Amino acid sequence: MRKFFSNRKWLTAILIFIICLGFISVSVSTRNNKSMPPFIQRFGNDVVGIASWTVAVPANSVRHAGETVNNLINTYKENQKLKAQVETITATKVRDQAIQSENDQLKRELKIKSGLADYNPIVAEALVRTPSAWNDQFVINKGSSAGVKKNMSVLGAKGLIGRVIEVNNSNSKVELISNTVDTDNKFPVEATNSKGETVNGIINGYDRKTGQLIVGHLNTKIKIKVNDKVSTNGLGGITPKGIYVGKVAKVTTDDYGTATKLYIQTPASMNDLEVVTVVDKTS
Amino acid sequence: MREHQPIRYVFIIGLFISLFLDGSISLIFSHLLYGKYILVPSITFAWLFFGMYFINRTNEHVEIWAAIAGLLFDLFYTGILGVYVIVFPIAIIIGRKLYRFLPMNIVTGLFSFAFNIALINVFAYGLNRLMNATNMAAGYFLIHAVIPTVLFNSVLFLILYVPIGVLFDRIE
Repeated sequence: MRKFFSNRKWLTAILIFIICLGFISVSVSTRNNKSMPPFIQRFGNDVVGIASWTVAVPANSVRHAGETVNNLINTYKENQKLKAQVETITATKVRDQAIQSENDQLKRELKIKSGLADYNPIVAEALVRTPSAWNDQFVINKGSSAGVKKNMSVLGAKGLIGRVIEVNNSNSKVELISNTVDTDNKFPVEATNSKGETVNGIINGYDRKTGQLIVGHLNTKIKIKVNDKVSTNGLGGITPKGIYVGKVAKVTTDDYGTATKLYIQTPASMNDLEVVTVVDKTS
Repeated sequence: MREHQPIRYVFIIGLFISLFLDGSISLIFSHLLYGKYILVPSITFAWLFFGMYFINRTNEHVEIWAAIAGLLFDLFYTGILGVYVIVFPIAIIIGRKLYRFLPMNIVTGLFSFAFNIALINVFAYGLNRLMNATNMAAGYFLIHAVIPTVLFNSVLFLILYVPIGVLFDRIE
């Protein structure tokens, strides 16, 4: 009788499995510690990225056409709404300019080169999304040649959506803020209540059932209420200040009843990405 | 002896297209596919499976192409090398074993495909979890991701079964 699997086959299979485990641990540690993957991997990614245009570009343009038709239908309604806002926009613009120049002047007097809120935007387009249940990732079409670096923050249409986790020459991978593995970079945020008092904390969890971000371990007497706004606070050196994250949806205490825990509802655009902005903090 | 075999080129080009289609569909329909229940399209594996299932005459090495597709998948999509490069060939090998034991019709094909999709997802998740690359809880993953994904891909399989079968038969 022939054996179902011979000994040598088992040995080869186990060897291949161990080699794969080795590769996985090397690439996980590269992702956690190095600023860029090895040259071979970057080169492969660039080639595959260019090849992916053959499918991604037509697909994105079809999507764009669909949205254009949709926009055409909504035009009248939107026009009515915008007309009301147009009246105030010039005044706001002039005021904005005045405040900007005053701010620059004050900064010069105080000898501050750049504040916490200053950044250079890099506009990129989303190419594909990782077809995987647990990696909330997508690939954008700008890489190190456009100035993208690891751990930079990424903004969607309505606010903060994620961070850059891998940089290649012509594309890079972005991980959504809903992905909160221990080794990932955490976003420092502040919640501001109606009196203007702020509480600082970091995003350290995500509630998959409700789709809300969790800011835990807050020790403060300042009362934060539902619907208070949450934005990044610019501390930690990577994220600029003042990027909108979301609104407070629920305020509770943690399991031991000692620290405050905030649940933050993000704007609904997290899952519908077309154009994103990678933010390079000037320092 | 190698002859000019058009089925081979069709299979390889289709493999690349389906690999990129997975990502594009995931991006464009992400508000539908990645909501409360996660439906991950696996067109790449469906194409490999159909190749294993329908291409008999030319003795195509689908396992090797599965490993190549898995490597590109790891490289471009997840960034963690060594997961799909091993999971895809294992699923194809198991699919081939089942194919030899079971009679060939759409019901057994569907059963074998659904089993393989579940296997791929659970195995890849297990490796990621082992290496601490995800913190999704196993119970949540089973109910909100594996079961919907298997159902979704079974529907895709039923839709694609006849057209791709006819396509491969014509070219062969």
